[in-house]
Amino acid sequence: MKKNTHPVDTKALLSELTMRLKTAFDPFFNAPIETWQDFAAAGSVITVSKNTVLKEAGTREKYFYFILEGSAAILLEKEDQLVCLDLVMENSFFADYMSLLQGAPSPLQTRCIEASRLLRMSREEYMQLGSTEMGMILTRAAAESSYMAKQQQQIDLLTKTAEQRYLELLQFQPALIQRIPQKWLASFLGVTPQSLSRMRRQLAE
Amino acid sequence: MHQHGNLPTDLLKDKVRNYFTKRFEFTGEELDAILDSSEFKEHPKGTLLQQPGDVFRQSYLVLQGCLRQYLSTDGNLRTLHFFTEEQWVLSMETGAATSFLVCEEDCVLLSGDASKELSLSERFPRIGKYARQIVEEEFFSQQKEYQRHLSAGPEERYVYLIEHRPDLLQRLPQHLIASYLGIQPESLSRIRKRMAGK
Repeated sequence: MKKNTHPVDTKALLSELTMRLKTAFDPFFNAPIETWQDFAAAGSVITVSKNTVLKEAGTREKYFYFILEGSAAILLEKEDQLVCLDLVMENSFFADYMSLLQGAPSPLQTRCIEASRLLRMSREEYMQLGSTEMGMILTRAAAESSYMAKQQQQIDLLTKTAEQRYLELLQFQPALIQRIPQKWLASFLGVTPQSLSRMRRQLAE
Repeated sequence: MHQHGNLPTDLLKDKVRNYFTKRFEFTGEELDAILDSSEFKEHPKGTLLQQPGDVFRQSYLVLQGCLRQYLSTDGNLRTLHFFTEEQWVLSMETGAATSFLVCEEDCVLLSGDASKELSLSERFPRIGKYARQIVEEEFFSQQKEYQRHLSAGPEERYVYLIEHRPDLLQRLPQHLIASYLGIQPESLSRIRKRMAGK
């Protein structure tokens, strides 16, 4: 498990990160470029290998992340099994939000499921940025977006079959299907890896 | 003095002030501003507050009663949530509603809409900060509920209700609890008999 940490101290890197962040967040709220410069400058770029656990179950979330390359999963340990609650790809923010915001341990584990390059900032930096005028607007937009996404995720789970949800992923997030290890994908859909294999075979016919 | 069911308006205002003071320590001025930009709504049991397709939607703080949010897909009804006293029903989606919201009991609600809340938050940053906190807490609650749906079967989720929401089991008829658990009422009866037998 190798981690390389680079503070954001070159103009080129700052510029790259600023543009990536702005592009990712503009659909939710069009913030001025300076906001994203501040955000990028507050973090460090880290590279981690596949399957690196970023946050252990039972601990406090110490960081807030933006995925530059790679993917991550938010997992819940249940009776020696890991249940996949969320899958996050490039150009997305993620953290164990509840633990981050409440400053309390949670049973969730976060890990990178591919080798990844992440922009990472400490909880303190995140809270500080979040309390600026623009920060409050952005964290509000993020909270609402997370709420709506989670509500839709639940509605989908309750009203659609695993096969329908798999087909939607295939249609709207094909990269996810190709790159996520099968056991995490199965867990995310709420089925066993065997069921997922069967589903994929039947759909291929 | 205008009446809302059994409670006069002043008593309701006090109830709301107490709630917000307990949770967020607002000043008198902030509390007055919140009350000025909200309305008390009183609805008898059975009132449909929202249905799929509705565009203009309110957010509610339940002061008294129980609301149920449910979906109807291909003729199947599935209950998503129950909201009881001091719980928030947040409507922030743009576009049309996709679910139903119905009063399962006589309800008294504090009702507000997004645009009013926005101007409130601009005048009083602390209100904005706490409004965000409410959204965040509702998100955490959603997340935990999603966890239970993904990782626990109906019986385990029924046990969760017994341990954490016995009030729902007392107030609501069995077929609605079954709808929330995603099972038929007969299955819930079987689960209950099995548990009573242990």
